[in-house]
Amino acid sequence: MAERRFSINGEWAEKAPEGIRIGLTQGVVDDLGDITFVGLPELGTSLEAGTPAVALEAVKAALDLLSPLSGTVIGVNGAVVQDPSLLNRSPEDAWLFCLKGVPDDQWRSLWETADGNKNSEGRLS
Amino acid sequence: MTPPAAGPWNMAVDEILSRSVEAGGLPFLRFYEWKPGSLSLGRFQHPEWGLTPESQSVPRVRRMTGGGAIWHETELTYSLGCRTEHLPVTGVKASFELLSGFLLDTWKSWDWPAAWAKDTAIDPKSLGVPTAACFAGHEAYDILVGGKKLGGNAQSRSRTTIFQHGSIPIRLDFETLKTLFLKDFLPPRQQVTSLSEQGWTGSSAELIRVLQAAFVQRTSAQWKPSELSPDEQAEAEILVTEKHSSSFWLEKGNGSVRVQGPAMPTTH
Repeated sequence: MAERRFSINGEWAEKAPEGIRIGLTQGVVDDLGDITFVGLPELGTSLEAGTPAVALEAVKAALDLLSPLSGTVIGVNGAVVQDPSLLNRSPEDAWLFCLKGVPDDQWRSLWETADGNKNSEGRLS
Repeated sequence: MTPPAAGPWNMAVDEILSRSVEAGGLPFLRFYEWKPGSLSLGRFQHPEWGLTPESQSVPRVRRMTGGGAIWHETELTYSLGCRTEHLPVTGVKASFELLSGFLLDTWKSWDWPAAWAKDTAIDPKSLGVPTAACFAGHEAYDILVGGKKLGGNAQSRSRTTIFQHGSIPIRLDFETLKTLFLKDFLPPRQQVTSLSEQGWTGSSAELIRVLQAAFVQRTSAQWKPSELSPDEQAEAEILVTEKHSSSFWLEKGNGSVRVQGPAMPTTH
């Protein structure tokens, strides 16, 4: 199983062969409710951690999701753009975008568990 | 309460107030009106979806909040903003219930048969389906009076801040709506209502006083009137020019995220 880690804001990040895929945890999706719009970053976009990356609308609430990691966007999941309800039905599989060139220290600073008990360096969060 | 103003100014002031909250400022509740009447699009709404060619020639803005288009003319609009830590709830629906509750309380206090959409006979499957016109759709926490939708509410959220807009129609001008929305996207006339249809004859100032008191009671907030500072006024003027009157924002709504969105929906 691919290695998966979690951000403080409730995104998951998973090492895939081509890069690191980003998605939303069940907790975030449950909090949002029915997602009706997804806008993903353009391929080739250079993202900084903590800057807006994904546009979402759920239950008439519009929000910009922040990228948990820095890197270059090398892939986007068009399926969730065409059918945003995939995020509600299967958030653990429905990735949003894929980054390449993520600094290793940023990856290591993510949590090992979704509830954020500790990161890989053993620090309590 | 701010004086009736053009759409871009109204949107810019909302954004300034929202930024202030995000930066640690006090929560706010604002009431305002529109002059001239304007069409507002939802944050990610396609600029042509469900709208007539004639609608392209009326004043137009794009809201920070989600949902569908609204014609603002004979209405009172409110906006409010707070940090997530100010609320005892976290979910979107729960926050709508809390933050829109003052409206429901008010209509009920007038003995109007008001209820959340989720508590009415509306088909639960129809709740949350996106619509080009805000008033044509239903969310769980829309307010229905006698089974008819009264106004609409929508939010924008960041990690730390919740901003909510709401439209409270004093009167509904269906003749104007027919010129703005394509026939298949118009809210069905028998499914929407306004304050005047329900018998309200007071002034905007009276309505604001009642709603403000209901908000304080529902949220236990303390009320302190305030005005924009000169710096905030100046910032709002810049936002009017650089964002809320710009074709970039009006056409795509790509304020902070450059995104590839879906194709324009073809059905509602």
